[in-house]
Amino acid sequence: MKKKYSKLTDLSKKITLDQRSKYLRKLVMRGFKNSQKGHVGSALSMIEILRVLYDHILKYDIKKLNWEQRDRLIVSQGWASMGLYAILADKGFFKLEELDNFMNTDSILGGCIVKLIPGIEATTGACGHGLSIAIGMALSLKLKKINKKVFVILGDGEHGEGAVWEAALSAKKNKLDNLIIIVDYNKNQCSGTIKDVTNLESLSDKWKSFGMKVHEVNGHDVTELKKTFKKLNCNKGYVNVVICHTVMSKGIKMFEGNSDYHWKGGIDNELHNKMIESIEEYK
Amino acid sequence: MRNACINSLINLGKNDERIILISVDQPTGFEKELKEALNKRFIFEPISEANVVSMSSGLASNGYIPYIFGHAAFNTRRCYEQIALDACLQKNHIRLIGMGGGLVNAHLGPTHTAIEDISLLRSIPGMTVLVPCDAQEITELMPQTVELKQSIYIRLAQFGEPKYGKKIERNGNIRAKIGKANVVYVNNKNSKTDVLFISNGVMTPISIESSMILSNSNINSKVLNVTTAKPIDTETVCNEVSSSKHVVIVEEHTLIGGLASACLENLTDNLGSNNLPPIHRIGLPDKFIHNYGNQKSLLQKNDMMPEQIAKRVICIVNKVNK
Repeated sequence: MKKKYSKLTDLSKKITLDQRSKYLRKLVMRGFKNSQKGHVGSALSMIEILRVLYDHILKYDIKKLNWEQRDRLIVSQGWASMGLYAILADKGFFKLEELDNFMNTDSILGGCIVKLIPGIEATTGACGHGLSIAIGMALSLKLKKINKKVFVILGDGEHGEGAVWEAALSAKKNKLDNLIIIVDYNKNQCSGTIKDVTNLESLSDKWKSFGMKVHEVNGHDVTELKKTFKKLNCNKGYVNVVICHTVMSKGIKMFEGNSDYHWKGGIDNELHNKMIESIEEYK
Repeated sequence: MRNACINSLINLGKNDERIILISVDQPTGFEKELKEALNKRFIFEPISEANVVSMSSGLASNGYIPYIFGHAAFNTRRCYEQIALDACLQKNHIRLIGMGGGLVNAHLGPTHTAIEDISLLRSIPGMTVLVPCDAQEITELMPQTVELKQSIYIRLAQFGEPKYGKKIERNGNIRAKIGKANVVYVNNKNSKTDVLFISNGVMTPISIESSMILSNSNINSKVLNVTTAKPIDTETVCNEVSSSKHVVIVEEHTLIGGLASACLENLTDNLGSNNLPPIHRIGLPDKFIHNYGNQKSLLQKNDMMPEQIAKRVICIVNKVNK
């Protein structure tokens, strides 16, 4: 197991970014240019997860936001909001220009995700809520016999919340095989590395011990993510967990893998230009 | 009170596919009937109040009306953030049924008593707080909880079924209504009120008994039952207070943030502090209770049983009249 963890962690560091991944990261930077601060690390670590979900997996209709037959996605790590806003703007849930208002007093786009924003299913930002909300949604789809899925993206640091494990018990007990738990495992949290602060390993074994079917993937490999999500065996009575090995601040070499950039303030024009440059030159 | 509440839910849930009852590992006493009436919509969940509140919020966001059945002490403190952020903030309307509110679980000590629950829940925007006084009232209220577009906390406090102590006849044919306070008892209909009791929960039948005792001392009193602790029926409370010589607010709760606080906030905002009669608060002190026994014995210990309250009121009235 340790071998897989190290291999995927290395691969996630080495993988290059294509033009679409770079474009989405530059949209993220559009928000930070205005706010000059934000949760840079996780906004950038989950870009490929979101990209694959919105480009290839999720069933949705931007003209019918409350369409009952849609798949649901909840981003439990609500502080990584700019990552989600970038893809939602790209898909047309709201205008790209909104990104330029990120964190402004009257903006619809705040530092954490709220349900009032078009395309957002749940307000998140306080740790450890998203999975339980997703469970309620998955259960409601079962009760209504609607054959659609609920995806939820958890941060790695928020696994410290007891409610996550309460939810794990409940998901298994209720046989929610329409629920897919995705972990953005970027190995860093607010005050240091996951290893030092929470020590989650073996994360895979933890989820398995709760009765989940666990998949581990390189969270920046678009092809692998797509293949994994498409091949998920749902409706088999078990909950799927996809642990995505990612890199904190992926795409900005000087920030990568460093928990100091979980939150970054002081993004002035000079630093912003350097960050954009780093994304453009990323290999 | 619990039985009446669950029986109402059985009847409501039979005909309304949106109603779900989630018990946080608490037997309801009506498992078979609930299973028959609600089928898959009656769920036992692990001891996990935080998860259950968020999960119920998820269910509510997809059109269900979830009722969460659990201990008042745990259904409030343990999952406060989930109630605030997942239910109220996101307008996912849930119903929290807090069994054993107040001092009902006195025998189990301070971990199981819920004496600051109303204060906690009342402070969350968009929360309705109901404190019914007996089985009849909860039966009348339950159908109204279905369609209300707010989250609701229903504090159930015991004193058993049937009603507490000697049978107390309510004043006329009053029907409980969410948001409405009612005068449920008047000890002398022909005279101006010397003392207005304001109460809810089990303190209403206790206040009624106090009021009966006071008639022996020629003190005219009446009891205003404020079932909805939030939002307060400002109009009725202000009108009744304005026409009384003394006001005594009685609650099975600490004196911080409960019914008395709610009334005083509304009264000062609407009538001005200079236009109020003397107002006295009777409730539990701002401390954890380390005694045991039962609900009645702890109320007794805190000078809150009918005779004791009547004595306190006589002192208050005499002191002011001197």
